[in-house]
Amino acid sequence: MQVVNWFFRRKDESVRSQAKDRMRLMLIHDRLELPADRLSSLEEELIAVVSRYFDIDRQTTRFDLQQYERRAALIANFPLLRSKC
Amino acid sequence: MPKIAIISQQDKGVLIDVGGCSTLQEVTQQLISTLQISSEFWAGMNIDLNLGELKLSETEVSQILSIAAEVGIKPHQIFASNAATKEALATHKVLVGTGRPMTLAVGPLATEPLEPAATHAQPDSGNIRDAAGAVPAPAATEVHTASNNDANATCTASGAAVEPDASSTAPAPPAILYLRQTLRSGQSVSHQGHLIIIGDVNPGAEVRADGDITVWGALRGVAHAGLNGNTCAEIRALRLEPIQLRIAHAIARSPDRPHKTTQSRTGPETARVINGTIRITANNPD
Amino acid sequence: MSGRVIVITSGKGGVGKTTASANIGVSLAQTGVSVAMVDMDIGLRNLDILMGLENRVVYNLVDVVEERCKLRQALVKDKRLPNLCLLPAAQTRDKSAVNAEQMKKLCGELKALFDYVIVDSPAGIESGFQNAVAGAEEAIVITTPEMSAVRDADRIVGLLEARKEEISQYRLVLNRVRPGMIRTNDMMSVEDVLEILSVKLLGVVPEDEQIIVSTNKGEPIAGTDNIRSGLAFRNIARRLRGEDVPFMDLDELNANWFGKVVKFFAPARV
Repeated sequence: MQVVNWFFRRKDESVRSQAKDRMRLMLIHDRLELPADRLSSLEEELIAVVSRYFDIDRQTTRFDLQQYERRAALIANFPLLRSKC
Repeated sequence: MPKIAIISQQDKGVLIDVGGCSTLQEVTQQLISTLQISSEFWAGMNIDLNLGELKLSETEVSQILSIAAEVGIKPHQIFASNAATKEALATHKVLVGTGRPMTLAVGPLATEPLEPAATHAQPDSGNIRDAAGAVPAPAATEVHTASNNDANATCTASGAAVEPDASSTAPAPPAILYLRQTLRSGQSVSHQGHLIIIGDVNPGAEVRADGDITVWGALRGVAHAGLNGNTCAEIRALRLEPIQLRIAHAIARSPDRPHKTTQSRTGPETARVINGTIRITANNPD
Repeated sequence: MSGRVIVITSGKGGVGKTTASANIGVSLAQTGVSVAMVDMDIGLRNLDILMGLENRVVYNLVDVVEERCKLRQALVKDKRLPNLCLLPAAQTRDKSAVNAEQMKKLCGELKALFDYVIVDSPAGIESGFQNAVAGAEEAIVITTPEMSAVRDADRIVGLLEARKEEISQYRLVLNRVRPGMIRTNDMMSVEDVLEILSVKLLGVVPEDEQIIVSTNKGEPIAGTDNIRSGLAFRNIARRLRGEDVPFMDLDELNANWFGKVVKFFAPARV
């Protein structure tokens, strides 16, 4: 069974894509000289700021670091429920 | 300049030169490996130390002094060219050397010229030895004297030098440096006299002497005897397997492809210059 | 004559920097141009061993810089290629024996004599690396598809980018690639590494046991025909000379039947 699993293993679960994802994240941190906890504290602050204006869905709020050439971008997605007046 | 050089000074003991090191860590490493391994050798000897251009604080100087003290050495005088180091030395009440410390002699050598035409003059087959015992090695005859006057002058000034072309009428026998230590890659010993090493000379290590070089062990690195041009100098070792041998201006290199027969050859051998080329002969009991 | 000074660097040690230097030097010389190889790994010299020239070294780079000999005297001519020379590193000295200014001057003298000057940088990003790149106009970054090596290569690329004014271009050589492991998704592919590092590719060299054999013989593999890693280095030399050489299809190199079966079911691009 293990052999069959290995043979039909999906690409996403592979060691290769794991390595690639870890690598990408590691290099973004390296290039920005970003300490490990800095991003999570930024995320918390962003949520706090947006929450002052909107009720947001915390469950589906997403932060994503992406790479464009040798630059990095932080993509934030806040599903807004209603505005706070 | 190598990281650590041991230079014998005529009638003044030995100068240990660590001026080739760039950090305190290197100095301590080199001193520990050199002093402790052959600690008996240093006992009771007049020893000077040259720190070169190193900048050391007071505590760093005391670190160096304690390494020496551990093997029973108190440097007679210490040379330093850095002002801060000199100051630190003074606070430790060490005699700061005046004048220029002795430096390593650099022997004149001829090299393979770059031009293709000239290289053909040195056939590839001319290696240190061949199946047939003593076989001439490629000895370069072209000598670049212009840049070597300084080196020769230093040797003569030391009083122990042998005139390059009058080696048969050698003056008073030069001093002997006796070193009980295996020299590893990157280490180098130079001596104005005869050099005796009890231990191996590994690939990447260099031994140089004005006089003879004797290795009671395996010589696998580079050896240069007769630094000042003395063609009578000899190199001998229990196992003579050098990367390269130099005697005076002659150079011989190990074979590019080791012959099967050379591996079966064991026992002590001596290299000397005969008719301008380096030849190796076995030291047979008869 | 004004030659091209190309530094070969990696950040991480053990990824095949010196092997690549030796093979790129030999491959370039085989195309007929004159080449000088400079070993900048002062204190840990190895390029002479890979070239099989260790017994011919008399003077070294530090002797030249400190004017104990002329540049011409320190150059060791290759055994087989008359247009290839090696300037060996000093073994009994350390990295501080040479500074960036001296290196610039030396590279200037060398490029007046040779078409190509290949500088083998030491591992690390400290003074040894800084000196090695000081006189260079182009760089080749060597890495393997392993995470630690890619991370260090990225650091090097960052440092090279900061020297844009001196280093006009840098390209990547991916060394010790194992097509079998990429196909089974156990290793990052060539595309993965290129995408992450976003650099231009100069060549892909497959993992090859013959490299060890060639090191032991002191004969760089590029000098031997019919060996895949040697061909990869010869292709790199042709690309350096401006030729448009297609990249090897690594799949075809793995010619065992199982590999072909897997490829049939799941064709992998490497």
